[in-house]
Amino acid sequence: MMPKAENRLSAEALAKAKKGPLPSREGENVSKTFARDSAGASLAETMRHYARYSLGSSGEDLSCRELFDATSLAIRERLIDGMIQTEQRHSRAGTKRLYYLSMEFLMGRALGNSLYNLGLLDTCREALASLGADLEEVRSVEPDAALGNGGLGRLAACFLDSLASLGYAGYGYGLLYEFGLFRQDVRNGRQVEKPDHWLSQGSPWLIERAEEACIIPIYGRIEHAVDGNGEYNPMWLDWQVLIGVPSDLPVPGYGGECINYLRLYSARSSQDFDMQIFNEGDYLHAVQQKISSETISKILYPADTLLSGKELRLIQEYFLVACSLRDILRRYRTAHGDTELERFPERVAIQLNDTHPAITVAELMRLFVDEEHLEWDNAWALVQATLGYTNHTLMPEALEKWSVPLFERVLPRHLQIIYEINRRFLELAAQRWPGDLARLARMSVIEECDPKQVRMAHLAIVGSHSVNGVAKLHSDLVTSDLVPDFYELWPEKFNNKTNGVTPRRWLLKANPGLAGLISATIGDRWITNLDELRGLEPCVHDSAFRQAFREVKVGNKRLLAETVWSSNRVRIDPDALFDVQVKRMHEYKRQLLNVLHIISLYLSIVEDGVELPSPRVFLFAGKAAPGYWTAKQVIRLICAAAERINNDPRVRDQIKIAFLPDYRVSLAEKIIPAADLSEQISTAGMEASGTGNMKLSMNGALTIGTMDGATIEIMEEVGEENIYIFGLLTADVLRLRRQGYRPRDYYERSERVRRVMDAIAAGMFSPGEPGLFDWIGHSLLDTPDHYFHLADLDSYAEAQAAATADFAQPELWGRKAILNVARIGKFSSDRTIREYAREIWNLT
Amino acid sequence: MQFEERQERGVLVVRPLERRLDAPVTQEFKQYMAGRVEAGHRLIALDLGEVEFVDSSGLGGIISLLKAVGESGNVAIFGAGSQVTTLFRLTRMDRIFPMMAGVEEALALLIPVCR
Repeated sequence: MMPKAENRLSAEALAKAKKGPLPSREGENVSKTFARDSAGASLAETMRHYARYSLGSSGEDLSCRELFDATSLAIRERLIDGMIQTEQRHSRAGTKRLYYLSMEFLMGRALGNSLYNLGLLDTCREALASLGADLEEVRSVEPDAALGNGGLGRLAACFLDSLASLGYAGYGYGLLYEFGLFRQDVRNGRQVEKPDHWLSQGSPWLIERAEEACIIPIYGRIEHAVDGNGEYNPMWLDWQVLIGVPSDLPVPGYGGECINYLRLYSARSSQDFDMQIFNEGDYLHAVQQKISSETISKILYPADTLLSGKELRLIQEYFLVACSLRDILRRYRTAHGDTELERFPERVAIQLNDTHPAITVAELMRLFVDEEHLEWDNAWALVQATLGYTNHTLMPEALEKWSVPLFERVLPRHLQIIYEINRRFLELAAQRWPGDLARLARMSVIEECDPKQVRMAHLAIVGSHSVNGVAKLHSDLVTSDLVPDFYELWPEKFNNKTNGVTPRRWLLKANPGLAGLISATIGDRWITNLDELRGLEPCVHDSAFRQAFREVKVGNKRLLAETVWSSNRVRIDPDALFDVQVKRMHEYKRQLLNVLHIISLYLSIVEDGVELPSPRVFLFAGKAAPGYWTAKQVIRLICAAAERINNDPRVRDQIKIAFLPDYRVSLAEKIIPAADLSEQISTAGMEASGTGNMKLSMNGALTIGTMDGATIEIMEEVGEENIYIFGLLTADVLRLRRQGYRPRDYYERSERVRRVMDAIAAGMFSPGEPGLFDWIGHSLLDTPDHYFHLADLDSYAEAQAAATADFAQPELWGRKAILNVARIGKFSSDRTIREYAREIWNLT
Repeated sequence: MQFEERQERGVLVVRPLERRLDAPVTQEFKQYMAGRVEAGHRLIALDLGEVEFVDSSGLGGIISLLKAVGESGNVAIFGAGSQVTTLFRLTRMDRIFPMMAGVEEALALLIPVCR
């Protein structure tokens, strides 16, 4: 039995908690090296040194950016020391290493994270104060490292934090995009994309390793020759060369004991190797070649861009894989010599984050067979034992395929290897299912259409010993719907690893008020063992705790209200229910469903005189892919609804809407701690996992959501009574799709649906541009909408009504919110990484 | 493009004095080597000790040399650094041109051919 905890929080603890920051950890978990010399004065001295000798400043009147650079360089010293010590420790112990290959790492800002994880936050604040500067101001000038689109990239970043915090030798490998995901501006309700030149002023965190640059061949042709023994010897000739130059971003684990790195490659021209060509009068040609080579790591492709046929994207994926594998093999040889390749999988695990790095299967085979002279069967056994593949999507349009002619032109030797892998694989499948040609065609790595396509998911499945989905429902759908033939063939390969998020960034750093309150109440072990939050459960009976919890939330809402005022010029009431939907703009995520509900609320206020139980603030943020017309139109609708509803006096401020521009990690860190209600309303069966749902619940927001992705597991953890579930189930969606979905039936049956759709059709939200939103009627009503908006609207509105009614009872809402925090332990990425480490990577 | 050459036990040992064996110099390399073959040299040990980078046209030049010496001749390579060795391996040309560590190994490979 848990002890009754009424009023057990001491006044002292509460006072401490209200102050915000955590009780200092310095000298506790932090390594002794850091603890000994971490006084503010010493750090300030180091900053002055860097200001003078790295930035060339006299130290007088340093700008915020100069202070940021000097601070970061001073902190970087500690990171580098720790990184070297960590490497020495792993080398001595012969630790198995995990390499996480991903085209995206959405790291966000590094300074605050480093300070928290090294335990130097207070020291740094003191040091900056002695220089007349404010830490928060200095932190705010750091550009986000936006090397990712959304969930997949942020997951990779959370995983790196957990790998280091748990002390694993786990490293990220990615691309150093010169331009991260575009910056989003909203002008007259329209999304405008601007380049994100995040490296324009350099980055103090990146350590370039020019001496470890590698040569990557590309293009060319195969000459079918024979070797000295008369054996067939396909020679890859006439290739061109790219140079991959790595830069390391240190990744500190919590407590500073283990500091890993994220290795990011940028492409350089081979001309960098020798300037002689410039002296031979062909300067312009040389420069042109240089520019085209360097284009490779120039930009991150936005999600939802049609990638098929994008040669540059294929080259990017290959470039990442080829640079990474060459580096991994080089490190392996340094540690173990040339002779022990047969033990490769005992010492190295490689995880493919989605199919983007799936060329790894062919490139590792090429390295083993062509360069290391291993027999095919031996090489194949090593490849399979080394690789694991994580599937992130069931959406057919997101499953990568490359046309064979393109592939052959860019990577002729790899295509040859893929054909051989496929030939052997189909032989195996044919033994299992003799004569079942239809099944073999379904399973083949090569899709026989015109032109033929390389199916990257099939290549990844065939070449890996583990295939995992990212939430229970998603993993089930992978085996039952996406690739059932492969599951039948190799059931032992398939498993689930429900995603998680790092509590260091998403609670400790993003929400210092709540983190402080939690630590003052149950101690700070939750930071590295999130299950400890269960200790908060008895606090639902503690009125002082509930009061403190509420005050933290209102404080966060007040801060967010300032941000909303400054970016949108919309005043919002911190006592209102803050309802947030922050994620990529996509039809399946159904921001449109949210707007339809807001319109229905609006109409009930202005036409029926309804009074809401609590005023409501609806906040949206998210980027639409530049070529995704519908997603951009939804932004227009949100802005148009905001324009009308925010300014309609009949609403009497009961509803406020804001679309916050340029959603990114640092903005998420402001929005999430202030949220009351978390919108997770995707069409059932379409969201693989979601991680925003976890971050929001971790910060005391209640979820309104469908039975989709990890939201189902959140419901299982927090309890059905502490979440608002609505809508069709995955099975309902499949059944409706099979039977034929007829949205007009819902229109005729439901007054709400009719009213909302009629208001939009009548031009209520586009007075100056008649017909602007006619597409909504066409997509949702006149065609069998793939995302089932109207089928779910009534159920969604009922769940919304229940949430609003509960919010009007602050004590009830507070209890539910506290229980969400207390029961969210499962969704720490530490748990996820432990599962990967134990069940896939075999790390110790 | 400059070369050093000497004869050892009937083998022509050629050392290109270039850091890069790539497109701008390949033609010159091919012409020079063709001249040596025409002059009657069929056993050639190529010393790549000075060369830091070979591109695909440079590799093509070396293949031309192998073709030029014909069935009665042979070409061996020695002294290549790790970068150049990697390039030979990735094209699988190391299976046609054995990569020898030093001149003695190269000569040992070539000399039995003429017996």
